[in-house]
Parts: sequence; C-alpha cells; structure tokens
Amino acid sequence: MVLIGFVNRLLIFALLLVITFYLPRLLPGDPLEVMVASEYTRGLNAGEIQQLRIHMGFEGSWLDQLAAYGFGILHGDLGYSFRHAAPVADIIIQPLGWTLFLILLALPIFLVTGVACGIEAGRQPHGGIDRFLTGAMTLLASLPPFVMAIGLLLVFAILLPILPASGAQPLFPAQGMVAHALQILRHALLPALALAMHEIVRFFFVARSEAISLSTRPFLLNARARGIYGVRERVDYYGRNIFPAIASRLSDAFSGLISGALFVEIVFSYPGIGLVLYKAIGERDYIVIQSTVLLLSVFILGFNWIIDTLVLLHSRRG
Amino acid sequence: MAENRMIRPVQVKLIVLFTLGLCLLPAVVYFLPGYQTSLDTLAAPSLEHWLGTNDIGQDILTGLLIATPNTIGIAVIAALLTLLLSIGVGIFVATAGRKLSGLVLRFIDILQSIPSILLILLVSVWLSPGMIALVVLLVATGWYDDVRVLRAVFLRELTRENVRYASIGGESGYYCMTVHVLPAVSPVLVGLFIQHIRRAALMTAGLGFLGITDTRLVTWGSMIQDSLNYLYTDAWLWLLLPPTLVLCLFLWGCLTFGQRFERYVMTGARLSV
Amino acid sequence: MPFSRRALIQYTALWPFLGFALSPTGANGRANRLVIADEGGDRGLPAPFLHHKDGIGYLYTSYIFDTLIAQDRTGKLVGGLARAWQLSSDGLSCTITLRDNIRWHDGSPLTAKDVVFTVAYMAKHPYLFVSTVKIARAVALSANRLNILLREPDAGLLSGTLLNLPILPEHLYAGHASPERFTSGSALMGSGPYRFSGYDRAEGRYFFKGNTDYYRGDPLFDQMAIVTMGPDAALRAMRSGEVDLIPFLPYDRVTQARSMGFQVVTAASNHVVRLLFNNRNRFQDRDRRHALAFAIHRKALIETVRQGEAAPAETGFFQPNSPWGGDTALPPYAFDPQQAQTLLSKSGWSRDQHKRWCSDGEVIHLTLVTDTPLRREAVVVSEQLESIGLSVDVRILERTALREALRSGNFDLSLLSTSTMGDPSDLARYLAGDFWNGDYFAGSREMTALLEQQAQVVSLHQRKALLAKFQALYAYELPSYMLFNPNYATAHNHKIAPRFLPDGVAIGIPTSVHKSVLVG
Repeated sequence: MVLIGFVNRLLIFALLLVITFYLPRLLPGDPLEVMVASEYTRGLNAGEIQQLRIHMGFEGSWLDQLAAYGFGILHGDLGYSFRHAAPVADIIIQPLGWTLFLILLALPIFLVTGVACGIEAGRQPHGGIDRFLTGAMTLLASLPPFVMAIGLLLVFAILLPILPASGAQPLFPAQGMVAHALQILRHALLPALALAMHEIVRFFFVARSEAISLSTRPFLLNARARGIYGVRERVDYYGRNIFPAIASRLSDAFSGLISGALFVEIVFSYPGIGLVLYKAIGERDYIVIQSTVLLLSVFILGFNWIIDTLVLLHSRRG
Repeated sequence: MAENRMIRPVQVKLIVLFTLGLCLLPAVVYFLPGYQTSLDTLAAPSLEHWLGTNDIGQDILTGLLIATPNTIGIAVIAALLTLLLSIGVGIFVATAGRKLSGLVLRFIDILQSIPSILLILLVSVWLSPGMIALVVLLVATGWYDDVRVLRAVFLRELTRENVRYASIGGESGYYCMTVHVLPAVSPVLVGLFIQHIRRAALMTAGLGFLGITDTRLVTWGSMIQDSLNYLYTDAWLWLLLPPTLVLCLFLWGCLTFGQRFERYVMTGARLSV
Repeated sequence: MPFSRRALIQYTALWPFLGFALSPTGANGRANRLVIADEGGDRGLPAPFLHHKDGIGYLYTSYIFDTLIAQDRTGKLVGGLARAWQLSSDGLSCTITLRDNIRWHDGSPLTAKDVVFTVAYMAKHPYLFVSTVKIARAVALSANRLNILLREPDAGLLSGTLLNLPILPEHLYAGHASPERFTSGSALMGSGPYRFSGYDRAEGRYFFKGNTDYYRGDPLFDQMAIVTMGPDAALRAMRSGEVDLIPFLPYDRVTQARSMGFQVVTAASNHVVRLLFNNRNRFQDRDRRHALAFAIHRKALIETVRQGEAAPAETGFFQPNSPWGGDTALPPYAFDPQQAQTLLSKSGWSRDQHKRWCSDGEVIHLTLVTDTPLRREAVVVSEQLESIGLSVDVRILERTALREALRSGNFDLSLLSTSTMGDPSDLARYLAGDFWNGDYFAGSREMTALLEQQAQVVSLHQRKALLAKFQALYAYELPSYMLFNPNYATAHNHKIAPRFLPDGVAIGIPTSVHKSVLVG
C-alpha cells in the first residue's frame, strides 16, 4: 500500500516534469527574445542572437532540452536562469524558506482554532454554541483568501498601522538575534493569519462532524457520567479520537496552503515562493517556472504521501 | 428545530427571483449609460454615481452590473459542464469492466494529486482566458474530483432491484438511466453542482484578482484588483467594498444553500414551493 | 508523531534567517546612509552581464562600473575614466587618454589594457545595451593611452558607445568564457563611485558602500541601500526616516508627498506614450494616420488617465529639451473630429447607415493591442475613436504575445511606451528596421536616408541639422502619433538633490538618480 502510493507519486512527478517543461514552451514568443528585449536594449544582429542562444542553452530541439533538463534534475541540478544570472536553486531556496515559515506559523493557528471550535460545536450539536460557531465559520468560508488578506492588510496595517504592511523583515533589522527574530515574527503575523483563516474552516467542519458522531458514543456518555468535563474531556476524549481524521485532512490541506500562500504573498509582498512564481510567469523565465512548480509539487506529493503513510500505520496499529 | 433545517418556500422563491434578476441584468446594462470612461475620476458616491467611479471615471455600479452576470454565468456554466463530464465518466467507470475502470480511476488518482492551481496559473498566463477559455479551464481541472463519489452512487443505484427489473424487462440503458437512476441520485448531483458553482466563482475571482484573465472581461475579481492601488486613500471604500461584498455574499449564499440542501436530503423533508 | 515534526520545524525555520548575513549593520552610519525605495524589486546582480535587461538594472550597474566618457549633473558629456579624447578628421579613429591613478575596487590600477580587453571581450560576448560592432579594434599605446579604430565613421561614438560601455577589469574577467555564469564577487568589481556590498534577491535589496578612492570626488554616502517597496509604504517609511528617496513616485502621490513635507522634483520623462499605426497594412495611407490623430483628444486623455500629470507630446520623435530635435514648430493635430472624418472619407473609407466606417462595404473593426501597464489608456483611446464611428477592439496582450503581434503585423493600432532619449544612432532601425517596438515604417525614403546619414557624419552640427529635418518629417508622416509625455516625479529629503537629465542617463534612462548626484 505504502509502496503503491509512492510509485503513484513518482509517476505523477514524471508527468509533471514533462508538463512543466512543455507548457511554458507552448507560450507564444521566443524566450531568448523576451529576455533580451526592453525599451533600452539595442537590437542584436543575427550572429549575436545565435551566440547568445548557444550560451543560454536554448539550442537544440525541445527533446534535447528536455533530456538535458531531466538529466540535470536527476543530479540535483535545477538549472540556471539567465534572466537572474543565478542557479535556479539559489533563486528559489530562500523564498521557499519564507513560504514554509508562513505555513508553519499558520499551522498551529488553524489546527488549534479549527479543531477546538469544531469540538466545542460538536459536543452539543445544534446547541447555541454550535449554531453560532457554524454560522461564523460559514461566513469565514465565504471570504476568498485574497479578500481575507486584503481585509487584514487594510485593517491592521493601513487603517490602524500597528503591523507592517509588506515584506518579511524591516529594512534595517535589529542587531540582536532575538530582537530580529521578533521583527520577523511581526512581519509574518498578518500573512500567516490570512493563510490560516481559510484552513480554520476546513478543520472546523471536519472536527465538528467527527465530534458529533463521537458525542453519541457510549464511552463518552460514560465519561461524562463519571464527571469528566472541561479540558480533559475535550483533549483526551474528543481530541484523541478525532486525530486520525484531522491528520488525513492535513494531507490535502497542504496543497490548499500553497495556493493560498500565492495570493497572500502577492497582497503582502511577502518574498515567498508564490511571489517568485508569479513574477517568473510574468517574465517568462521558463526554467524558474518549471523548477518552482516541480519543487512545489514534490513538496505537496511528498507531504501527503508521508501523512497518508502515517495515517495508514496508525490505523493498522488500531 | 426540524423546520429550521429545511428549505423554506421563501428561500426557493428568493432563488427564483435571484435567477430571474440575473437574466434581466444584461438588459438593464443595455439601458445604462455604459461602462464609459469620464473625466470624473475616483469620484466618491453621489447622486450621479451611486457607488462612485474608478480611476478612469467608470461608474462602479455599472461595473458591478456587468461583472455580476459575467462571474455568475461563468460559474454556473462551468459547474454544469463539470458535472456533466463527471457524470459521464462516473457512469462509464461504474459500468465498464474491472480493468478499464481500474485504469481510469488510477488516472484520476494522478490528476487529483496535481496541484490544480499551479496548472491553472500556467495555462491562464498563456491564454489570458476570456469567458470560454475560462470555462474550459475550470471544467478541465474540476471534473475528476467527483468521479469516485459518483461511481459509488451509480454502482449503488444500478444494482437496485427496480433498475435490474427494468433492465431485464428489456428497457434501454437510456431509459433506465433517466427514469430510475438519475432521479434517485439527483440530490447528490445538486449538492455537487452547488459546490462547483462556488469553486468556479472563487477561481474566476481569483484569476481576475491575479490579473491574468482577459482584461475585457470585467469580473468581481478584476474589480477588486483595480482597487488595490487605492488602499491607502479613501477610495477603497467605494472601489474595494462593493465587489468584495457581492462576491462574499454570493459565496455565502452558495454555501448556506448547499448546507440546507444537504440537511433537507438527510432528514428527508419535503421541498415545498 | 511529534518526533519528525519538531525536527522539521527547526530545520526549515532556519531558512529565512539565511537572509541575516546580507543585512548591513548600520546603527552608527545612520547619518551617512542613503536608502532608496523602488517599487520594481529585484533587478539582478549589478554587473554588466548579470543585471536584468531593463534600464534600471543598467542604472544600478552604472553605480559600480564607470565608463570612458561620463555625464555631469546637467547631462553634458565630460571625462569619465578618460581624461581626453581626440577623434581623427575622417572619423575612423579615436585616441583616448586615461586619467592617472585610477583604480579598480580591489586596488589594482586601471590601465589602457583593460579598455582594450573590454572592447575585445564585448565583441565576443555581445552586451545587450551597447553595440561594439562598429569598432574594429582597440590598441593600447601606453599604460594610459589607447587608440580605438572604427570600421566606419560612427556619429554616436562619444555620446553613445563610449558613454555607455562599462569598462571591465581584465585581471578578473579574462578567461571567463561565459560571463552570464560568472557571478562571484569579483564579477562585481568595478571602478565606479560605489562598491557592491550585498544583495538579497528574494526581498529585492541592494547594499553599496562608498568608494573612498573614487577619482571624481567623494561619494556622498558611506552606505547606500536600494530596497523594494510600494510607493505608499515608501512614503510612510520616509516619514519615519527609514527611506530618503523614492525615485519613481506615481503621479497621483505627488500632492500627498508634498503635503507630508518632502521635496519633489518633477520633469517630463520623455518616455512617451505613443499610438503606433500598422504602417504595413491599413495605415499605409498618411491621410488615415492623420485622421486618427485628429480624432484623438489628447487633453481629455491626459485628464482621465493621468489627472493632468502629463503634457501632450511633441508630434515629432524627439521631445522638448532633447539635444537632437531642433526647434521647428510642429503640427499639433489639435482635436478636430470633423477634419478626421473628412480625411477618412478622402482615404476611401465610407460610412454605412449606422454611421459605422466601412471599407468596400465591410464594417471596419480595428484591433488595438497593448500590454497591461497601458490598459487604461487603451480603453480611453478606443472610446474616443468609437465616438467618430470607428469600431475598436482592445486586446491587452502579455508582453511576448504583444511582440509577436507587432512583429507579424497582426494588429491595426498599438499603444506603446517608448524612450525618446539617448544617442539616436540606432534610429534608422527603430523607424524601418527590426526593433520589436519600432515603427516598421518604410513609407519615406527621405527619412530613412536622413537617419542613415546622421549615424555617420562626424560633425555634431551637421548631425543635429539632419535630425531636425527628420523630426519635422516624422511629425508630418506620423508613423506613430506621440500621445503624451508623462511627468516623472522623485520624492526626496534633504540628504540628496536628485535631478532629471534632459537626454536621460546614458542609454536614455529617465531617472533622477544619475551617479553624479551621489558624488560630492
């Protein structure tokens, strides 16, 4: 089972490799010309263009280029972007770090809030708390990620300027490690919150429906009869039993988080991978587009494979 | 309690009204002064421009009246086509042989693990899609999510006695489908349909927001995108709020209607008009 | 499960902190630090073969790399690395004397050999901003004298090639067969007023240090940073003292910046928005081009899309203040719909009963192509043309698609933003040649001949006379209708006095932050 999952994902990876390679090349226009054309560059003559083409690896048929690209990937070489004059790995590694940082910051927010609210609502289905929470979550679910991001930006960074509106750190970071880390956290707070909001809803509804079905189970009725209430009831009895369902939902959440990060990073000009991808698409930087999409899908596929495997192992253990 | 969970006649009437209104919108737009630019740029709401004007003097209200049928139209058409495609594949998988259906399902597994937003992004930048291309794109990346659900539902329905009898009794497959199977699965289909409308509206708005749809296509998302430059001025009040509110209201409407519909199906209550 | 997650958090959380190493420690140098906020973001590493292929990438590079001939604060040509130059009377050779005691940032002396090397190197590795094809070779005469030999006379040698060509250090660049891959610190070692000290690609930040050995005076700042920031955030940061200069302040933020107490310099950008006609097809007929010019109300256009922060452009190619355009009065094509319709009828188009223009009984649909930055202008122009009965279909294309459309001639009208500054030696290719955003105009032999001549004459006086003739012809033939000349604005505080140069910086970049304003 575990192995099949892995092979499946390997297959997807190969498919994506080909798609990400060919799709950008179907775009109209010659990447070399896009790269060299601006209002200021002089026109090159044919000989010069050919010289550049050879230099920049745009020589040869698409198939040759694909082979070279695939071969490089197998050796861990993501290629070289001539637009940025840098190896692609250098271009995307730091933004990837920022994006993962945002996601990791958002993770506890949406997990704790979503699951806690879900349990609270599911403890007494159709009660007052449930109706209020479900209503609120439905409202929250109706806000697309970019609306949420713009809203937070507007309220907390523009109307009440208490948090930074853009970037990942101040122009001139503080000297001390701790102070700097705090500044980075401050900058990440709004984007992470915007990112978390949408996922809160997802986990709320999962936790709620699980909690509703748990609420009628004998062991819980039993526990309540023994006077177990409060935190212990919610964590030990509900939380523990809801865990597998939450974990399995986490595997598709990751893909949602990545696409959410794209919008959030654009709104907050956060220097993450979404912004890199967005700019690369505008600039037709094929090699960066390919590698970013590939890397992101490797992350998504890898992450949900790991989660699936863990859930599988967990359920086998009983 | 039970009443609360049902779909009340009022709501159904509201939906009917809403749909009628949508159909009439293009006619209304025809009689309006038009989405013309003017020297009256970034004007605050007034008697002349009820919702103010944008940075090239276009009337926001007119913009909304154009964007609304655009966005909703795309969403509904895309949802419908998505559903048709997934029903087709669902029936095929439910009736085809084990090997063939296994192959299709495996293929769907693969499609499902591709992060669709990345693909949509890649393709839209290439196409800068207008209405038709957008619908195609949404259908192409949406149909496979339902196939498994539909397959299970169709398998269940096809093995029911009434269908078997009809089939043995010499009725055609088409007859069995339309008379026995489809009515039985219609609640599921309606549920999926609403979900798809919501997804498509969200995507359309999202792509409009990223500014990669055809710029001639005014959508809620593109109106929101246009307002971003004015967040630091007062103009966000009339540039950002109207399209955002309408978008959220629509998504909220889809969601609550979907929820109520689900409850109605689960509790077996009747839907009275 | 906590086992793996904790490790994961610790590991990945480290990535953002990699950015630390590049951040400057500037607590003490605050008074003498300049921070420039630019919306554009990353422009690549500031070295000739590494920067992005846009004007600003070139500009940043010019802070580090000096050229033989330079511009002073008013844009006049003055000595850069070269102290003197002498052009031979046939225009085929130029003798250059370098300054004494000029050094690279690493301390080694800069000699004639470096210049000879640069010319040879650029011939092998074409640099996108400066063409060296007219230079046959360069010969070192002594440590500080050299001779540049040309294949043909080049009118743009001084104000073009030598002004724009960054000189590379031979001891660092020699042996690098692929300069696009040469990205180590030594690739960023120049001879300019500032040294490279750091770069954060993800956040689009540059850090420079003043070059205390600089031969043309002391840099005004010990440290200079260029950071990516939107205009609104930058204005706020300027109020809190973090930012000193916003080189490209959007026109609709000028009043705000002034009311916040900052100084704002503005100038006509000479980066003109123009309406290109398809001169290979429907608009071969001059009357039709004139008709459309009369049909467009430029003042209304400027009011609507720029709230008045632009001037109707000069209808010739060069804009006012240009050293090249001469001072002949040119036809303004003032808004006159009646005249437009008369001219359209004269060109053979007629109107049907719905008042739509037709050609041979078929309704004419004009396609106007442009890209996103000019989409608002496109909407207004199309509405104006529609009001005289022309049906216009606006297509906003992605940049690559736009290039394809222009090149293949698959359009009727196009809106483009074009720099009219910098040495005009290449104008012939712009008018009728293979420039992707050129005019593709072969309708006037006389204009082409004038442009070819002006690129070769040795006498500056003669060259200007030829260009003035071209200017007048351009306004008459109207291969493109120059619509408006936007004002550019720079907000700044007391630390620096930016100014725009009449013919732009070097290759014609409309910026107020030429390196001369960064040196005392």
